[in-house]
Amino acid sequence: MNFDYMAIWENSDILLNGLSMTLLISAITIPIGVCIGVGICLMRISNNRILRWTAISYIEVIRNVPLLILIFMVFYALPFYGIRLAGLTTGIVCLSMYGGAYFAEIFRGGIQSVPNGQFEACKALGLKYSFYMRRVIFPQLLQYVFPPGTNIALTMIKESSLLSMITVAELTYAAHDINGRTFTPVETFAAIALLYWLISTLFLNLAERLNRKLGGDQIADSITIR
Amino acid sequence: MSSTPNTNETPRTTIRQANVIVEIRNMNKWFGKFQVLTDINLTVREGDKIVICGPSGSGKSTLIRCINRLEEHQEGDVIVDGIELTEDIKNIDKIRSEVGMCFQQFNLFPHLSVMENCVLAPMSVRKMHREDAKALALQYLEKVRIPEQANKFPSQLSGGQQQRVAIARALCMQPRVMLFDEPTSALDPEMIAEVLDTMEDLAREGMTMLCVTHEMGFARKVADRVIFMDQGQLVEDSDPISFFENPKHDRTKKFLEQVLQH
Repeated sequence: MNFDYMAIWENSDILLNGLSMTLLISAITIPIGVCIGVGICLMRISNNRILRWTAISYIEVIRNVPLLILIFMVFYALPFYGIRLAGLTTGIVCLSMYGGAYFAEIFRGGIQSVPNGQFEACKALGLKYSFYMRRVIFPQLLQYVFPPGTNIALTMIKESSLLSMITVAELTYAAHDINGRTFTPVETFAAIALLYWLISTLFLNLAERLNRKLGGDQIADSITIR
Repeated sequence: MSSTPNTNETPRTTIRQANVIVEIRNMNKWFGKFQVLTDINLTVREGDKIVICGPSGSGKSTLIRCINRLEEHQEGDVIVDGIELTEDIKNIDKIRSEVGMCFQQFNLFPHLSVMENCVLAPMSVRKMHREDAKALALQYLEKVRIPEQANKFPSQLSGGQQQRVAIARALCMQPRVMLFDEPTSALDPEMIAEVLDTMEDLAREGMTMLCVTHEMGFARKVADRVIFMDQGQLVEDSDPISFFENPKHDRTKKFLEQVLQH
């Protein structure tokens, strides 16, 4: 069995460009997605009916439509209404909004998992909403949002491959490019898969470190099932 | 209004002209269609130590939770320290900083140390400096007799210790009245005494307290008023001796028979 390493090696520059593009997209969209998620979540749980309804509609639309269709709508359909975005911009906007919808629901689940008594203790002490959400509730919900949150972030990293369909030169696009030149799908796609796997592992490592820094592991680590 | 000092020798015969801290007038509350509090009229003066008892579902917890707006009342007036409790969030926050509360489940913040639990509110609400807040917290931790646990986390403490921290945390806001919602009901029997002793110390120092509890011994010893509630109504309100020896209402008698059997 011949594994044609040279095909990959000679085109490593294309690969590296694609890799850096994927990394860039992920590095931008995941934080923005988290911010959108926090905002939508607070709207979703607010007492204001308009805010609540806007949040629910946003989440429903994003969750029930395939990301690819969303991307196509923004890239191909929006220009008819005067909004023409470049491929990369489209990708970042769509991916961030996609992540935002899911993060919102994850944060909402996290807030609901914090025992009600915590909220009551905060209110009884006279603490302000913005203060206690930040200093008391948020640290406690980290342990609940970390597993599903990293799942969504990983999904976003992998879904960035869809952007290859609107001419963004990220990793999947590079794979098609190299394959088109060298006709070595086995080696090419194996290399791409390995690179995606490396990105994901690197991300999980960073996420775990961030989680530890924010104090999210204190409570979770003590939970064991006998 | 002037207040004459409350001497411990004859608290029940001295006529006190103390300030009114909590005033509840014609209060009614519903959960949906179900009425949980009916025609509540209650006056709490400075220095009063009130124990509220009654069967479960009688509305005792709901009543004291209406005082710091953890529950909302639909009809009637609730006035705390001269401020009326309404929708106005500024009033609610002001009242909450003057009313301290201790919960059955302690509700300590698990990710913060004992000291941090205690200084959080004084620093945020009263804008105290960290050093002043820490000194204050240490003072109250000494009062509840666990100053050495200041740097531990709640999960490292026993139930009795956690509840005492909760009491210290509430006291750090230096409230005018303390509410206790069944503070010993979640504790193992051997830890109940240490919490009740702490509450007794508090009472002796003149703190105004409303305590929902099943601990009748505590009521007899510490309270100067015992209130019996049943099905959302204040049935009886008298001094401990009259309450336990000579209850006026049949419902009270029945309840006491059941509770004081063991």
